[in-house]
Amino acid sequence: MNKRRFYPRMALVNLARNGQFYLPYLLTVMGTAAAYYIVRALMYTPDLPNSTRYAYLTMFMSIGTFVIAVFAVIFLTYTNSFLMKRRKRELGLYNILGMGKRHIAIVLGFEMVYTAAAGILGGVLLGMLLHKLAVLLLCRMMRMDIVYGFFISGTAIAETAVLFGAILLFNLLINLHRIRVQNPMELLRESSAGEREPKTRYVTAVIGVVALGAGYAIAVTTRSAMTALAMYFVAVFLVIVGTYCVFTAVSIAVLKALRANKKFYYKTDHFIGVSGMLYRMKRNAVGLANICILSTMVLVMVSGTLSLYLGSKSALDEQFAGNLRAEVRYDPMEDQPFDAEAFYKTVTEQIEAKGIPAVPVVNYRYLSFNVDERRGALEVKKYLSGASSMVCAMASADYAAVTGAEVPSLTDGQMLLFLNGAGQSRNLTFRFSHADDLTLTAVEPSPQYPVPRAFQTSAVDVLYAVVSDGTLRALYEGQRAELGEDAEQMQWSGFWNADESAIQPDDLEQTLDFTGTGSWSRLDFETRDSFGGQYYSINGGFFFLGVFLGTIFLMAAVLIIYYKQISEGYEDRERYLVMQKVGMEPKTVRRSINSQLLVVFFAPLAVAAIHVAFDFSLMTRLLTLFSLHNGSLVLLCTGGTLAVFAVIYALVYRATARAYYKLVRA
Amino acid sequence: MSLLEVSHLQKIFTTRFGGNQVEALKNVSFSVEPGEYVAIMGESGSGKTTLLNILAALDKPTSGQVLLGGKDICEIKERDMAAFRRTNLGFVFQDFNLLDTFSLQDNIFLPLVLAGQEFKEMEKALKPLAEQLGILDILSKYPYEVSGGQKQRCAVARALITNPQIVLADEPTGALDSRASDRLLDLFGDINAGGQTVLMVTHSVKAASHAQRVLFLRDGEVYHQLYRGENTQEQQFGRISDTLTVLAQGGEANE
Repeated sequence: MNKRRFYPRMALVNLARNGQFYLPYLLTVMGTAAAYYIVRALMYTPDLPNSTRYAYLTMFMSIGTFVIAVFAVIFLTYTNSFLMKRRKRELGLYNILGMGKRHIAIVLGFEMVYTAAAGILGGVLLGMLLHKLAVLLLCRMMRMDIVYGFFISGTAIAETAVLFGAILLFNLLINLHRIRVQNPMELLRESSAGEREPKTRYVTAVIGVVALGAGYAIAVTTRSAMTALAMYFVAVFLVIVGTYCVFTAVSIAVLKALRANKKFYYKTDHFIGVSGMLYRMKRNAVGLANICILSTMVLVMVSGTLSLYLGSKSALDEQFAGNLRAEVRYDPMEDQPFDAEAFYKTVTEQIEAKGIPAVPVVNYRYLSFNVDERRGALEVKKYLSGASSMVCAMASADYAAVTGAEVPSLTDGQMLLFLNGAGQSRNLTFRFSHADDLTLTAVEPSPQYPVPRAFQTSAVDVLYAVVSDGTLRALYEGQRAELGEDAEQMQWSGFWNADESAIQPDDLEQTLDFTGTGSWSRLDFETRDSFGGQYYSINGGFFFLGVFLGTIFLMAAVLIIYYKQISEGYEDRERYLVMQKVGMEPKTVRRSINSQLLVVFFAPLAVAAIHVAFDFSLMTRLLTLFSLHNGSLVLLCTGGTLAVFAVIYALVYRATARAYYKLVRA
Repeated sequence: MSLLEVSHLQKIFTTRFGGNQVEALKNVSFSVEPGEYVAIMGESGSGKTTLLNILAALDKPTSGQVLLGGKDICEIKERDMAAFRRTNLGFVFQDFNLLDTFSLQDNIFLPLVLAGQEFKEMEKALKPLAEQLGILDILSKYPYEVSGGQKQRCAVARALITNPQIVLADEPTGALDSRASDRLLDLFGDINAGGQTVLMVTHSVKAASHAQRVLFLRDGEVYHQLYRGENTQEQQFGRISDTLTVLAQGGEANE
């Protein structure tokens, strides 16, 4: 046969014969390439309006680019090394049958060229097809007004080709290096040599338990979003380390303990199950840990961004009692202080005079400033730190207006205190360096006084204190003396329900006449719609990215599961044949396979669910940074995501288990 | 009454796409008495393995009958088959068929665990057996940690631990060196002396010379049989060799 045509042909035949392994690999290359093309193409969307809302799109897509590129490098290299390990014997045989290492290298080179050509070409085509879908989805989620048509980005194609070409070339070089250093006889012997029983690695097991415990502890004990943000990646790192150690060492320790329990171990199902798992854990622990971590990532990403997205409405509701809002900051100690009543009245009249009906909803004043708790007292601080909380004080009459409750009768030095959505009975002492300490005594919480709506969004705990006018003034003066130039001002918010489409918030600031309302330092009008637009372009962008990356990670998890099933099928086949020869019933074989597969495959899911459960409080804290305070919504989103994920996982399991059964039964 | 009665056994294999038919067993009849030690000899292709597979209830004959303890093993229902095999037959294979996932002790326990026995009883049953087979000190090791001879002795222990009616051994010395083979064959002799019925398939003259009776299989038929009687093992070895020579020459003459 012509030598020049021999190698390409042989490479093709090799790929076809290993199709069971190479086809999924090819699909993965295609999938990741398609994903990469899509984010790049979205980034290069032509005629992107220059407003900030659309600038978010570019920002989100560059995050996506980075994540997908890193993921592609790691995952494709991992898969490639798995494939090569499986082919060790085959390649060793070629070597013994007289193919030089150089010739094997040529064949491997051709194989990689085919894979690259099919993977990148297919990936770009797939990416083009799905691009339109992604645009529709993105525009919907980010509430964009302009839906882009279909377009092809040449730059994106080139970038995809370069990145994936480079990754596959890198993999080829790794493979060639592996061939070069290996001895063919070793290659042949490798797979037939008996596997040693795994040793119990106590140190690793202890490290795993400690790391996992520490990670969980951080997640559970973190009380402020600032700390949560700082510690999040520490916790994630600890949990990842913990997961790997748990799967590799703790699992083996547990199985060995089970085996040591003779009464338990010497029962048909346990006997075969425990020994089988012990044996396969050694090789599969890392794979299972990978599945577990990928699953956790998918769950956290999707549930977090979904909560944000669905929480947008309630976050908006929280901030907009009516659909038009005016915010004023002022200094009550000026000669002619801001007159809220007059302001509210004149603005209402003037808007109505424009022919737009505006119904006043509610208005209130409040003062908020940051404090650090030190030696049992609160010290005023300008900037938030991890240990900070925020004080939000309002007068009793405004509290009544906000909540609809009776005006609480409070003397100076008394307060109603609310924290974390519940009335509190603890006292607060404020320590001022230029004045005496101010101690506020809490009035016993009572159902008569409901918790005020959270009108102040914050990343930290907010102490809502309802106080008398005199005390409010004392607090104002106290923090002003403390912070000087940077002192907080009194804030006033007023809300109307008006026809939003007829109102330009900026116009109001320019055209209304505010004479007779006193002086202020800052005034902002905002409609719910214009504010919501910003909101959705951020939260929608996050959600899109969450779902998009979640899908890719899910694909990776599915591929690892599939490879596990197939490679185990080959290994288990002989074991079950022998067991049947010594008198194991086919029924028992099936049952034992089933229970083993169930344990091995649902362990990662169960551990992922535990991770997510612990992550829940941390995530809820973090989401407050995005003004999401709705814990039950987060719970619902997390639960829902977990349920949907479990269903998908189960379907994947069923499909791949069938492939496994086919191998074992044959 | 004989323990094992094989009468007019015929087995025809049909290749997958119809067409060719191969008659592996033509007409095989013999019987084995309780406590007997029988070797079946024959060259490759003589039908040894087919016969053993049928005796092991792993395969069904085209026609004919196999009675074990008066019971027709071809009549046993599929779902009772595994239990039947477990309780009545003990297997020793050429390539040991020990499982790497189990320690040697657990490999030996496997049939008992499958039968649902208590651990205490298993241990009680194992002790004397392990002592007799000389594997007491390696029981906690794994198959890949011990030699072939040791592996095969463990496989024998696995076959014997259920007190089977008959032990079926398929080329038990096939993968062993001569010293390990000698030791194993001596053990088979001892076991048989203890009353255990043994049926061995082999083409090793030496292995066959340990048996009380040798059946020669050729082209799917029992061609000849040789009782050891009062002969020593060495004498029997000579007789078997002679028979094989005659068989080989006669075979050529017949064709």
